[in-house]
Amino acid sequence: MTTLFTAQHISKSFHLRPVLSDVSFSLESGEVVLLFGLNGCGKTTLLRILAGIMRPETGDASLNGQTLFTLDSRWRRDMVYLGHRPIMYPAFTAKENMQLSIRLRGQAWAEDKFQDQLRHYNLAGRENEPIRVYSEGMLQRLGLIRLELASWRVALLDEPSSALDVDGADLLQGTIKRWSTENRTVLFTSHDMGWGAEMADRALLLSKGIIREELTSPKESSLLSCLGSEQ
Amino acid sequence: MTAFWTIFVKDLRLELRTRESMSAMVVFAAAVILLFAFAFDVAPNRFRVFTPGLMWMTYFFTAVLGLLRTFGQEREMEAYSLLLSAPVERGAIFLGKAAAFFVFLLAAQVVSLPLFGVFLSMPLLTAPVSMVLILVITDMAIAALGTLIAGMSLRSPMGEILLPVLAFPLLTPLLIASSKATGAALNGAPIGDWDFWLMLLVTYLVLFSLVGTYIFDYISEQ
Repeated sequence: MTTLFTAQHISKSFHLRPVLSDVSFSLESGEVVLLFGLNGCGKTTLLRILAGIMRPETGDASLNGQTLFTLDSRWRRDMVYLGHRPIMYPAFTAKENMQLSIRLRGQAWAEDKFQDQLRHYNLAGRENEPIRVYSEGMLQRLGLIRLELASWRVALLDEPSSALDVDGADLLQGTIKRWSTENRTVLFTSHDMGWGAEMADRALLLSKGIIREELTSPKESSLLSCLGSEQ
Repeated sequence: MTAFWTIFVKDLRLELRTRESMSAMVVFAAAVILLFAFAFDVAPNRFRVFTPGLMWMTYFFTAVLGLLRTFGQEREMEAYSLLLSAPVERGAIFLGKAAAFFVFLLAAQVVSLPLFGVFLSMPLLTAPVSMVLILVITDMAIAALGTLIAGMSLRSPMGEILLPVLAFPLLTPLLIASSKATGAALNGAPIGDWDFWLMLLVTYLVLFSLVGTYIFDYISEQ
C-alpha cells in the first residue's frame, strides 16, 4: 500500500478553547482507519475540516500530492463526507437529492446505477418521496447511496452505523470492505468499539487535540483499554 | 458556470416545492402596505413624498425575512454542508444563491407592488422604465449584500439575530439611494437629475457582488 493522504499539524479551537492542537497522521490507499476517542475530543471537527466544511486554524493536508484547504476546489473531488446529519434537502425527494449531489460533483447522472443502489440498500420504490418522511436509518442508507454514486478516493464517515439496524450495519460492513478492495480509503468514527475493531485495519486515538496512539489490527479489548485510560 | 446554474436551479426548485420564502415575503409586504394605508391619514398628493421611502423600507424588511427563510432551509438536515463539501467554487455558491434570491424578491414585488398604487396612491405607471431599472438594480444589490451577510451568519448559532443586525446598517445607503431615485423618477425628473443615486446603487451592486464572489470561501466555513 502507498501513502495516499497526509495531514500535518492541524489545529482548531472554538471560542478560544482548543479542540485540535496538533493533529498529524497519514492514510494508505485502500486502508480502513478508525478514529476513536472520548466524546468531545474533536473527531467530528477533524472529519469536517478534512471534508472542507470547516477551516483549520493551522496545518495542511495533501491527497496524492495535491494540497488540500486551498481556494482551488478540485481537491474536494476526491473526498466524500457522510456526517451525523444527512446533509441533504428535506423538501427534495431522494432522487432529487442524489441528482443534486452528483451534479455538484460534476459527474453525469446514471439512472441504472441509482436504481441498483436503491435495491441494494432496500430503498427501492421510495425514491420519489421527500426525504423529510424518511426515518434516521433510511437517511443513513440514502447517505451511503450518495457515496456509492459519487467517485472519490477517501471517504470520511462520522458514526456511519449509528442509525442503522442490524441489516443496515451488515450492509455497511460489506460496503466498506468492498471499497477497501477497490483501493479506496475510509476514515471513520464509531462509538461501537466491537464494530469498529472488526472494520478497521488501523485505529487512531484522538485525545487532548492530538493523535495520542496508533493501533495496528486493533482488537475491541485494546480499543476499550485505550479509552479506559483516557477517562 | 455549471455549479452556479446547479445551485440557482436548486434554490428555485426548492422554493417552488416549499413556497416558504415567497409566501412569507408576499404576505409580509401586503400586510405592511395595508398597515401603512390605515396608519397614515394624509392627502394623496402629499403622501407621494413618503411613499418611495415606505416602499423601500417595506422591501428591505421583506428581503431580510426572505433571506432568513431561504437560508433557514440550508440549516435543516445541515444541507448547506452538501454545498460546502462539494468540489465547487464558493463564489459560484454565492452567485447562485444571490441570483435565486433576486428572483424571489422581484417576484414578491411584482405581486405586492400594485398594492402601493391602490392603497397608497403611488403613481407607479408615471415612469415605468425608470421604475423597472431602479427595482432591478436595487434588488440585485440587496440580493448580493444579503446573501453575503446570510452566508456569514449561517455558520453562527445566533445567525437569525446576526442577519438583521448586520444587514440593516449595511443596507441603509441602499435604502437612501433607492428611495431618492424612486422619488425623483415618480416625480417625472429626468434621469440626469437622479443618476447620482443610480450610480450609487450600481456601485453597491458591483462592490458586493465582487466581494461576495471572492470572500465567500472564507466566510462560509466555520
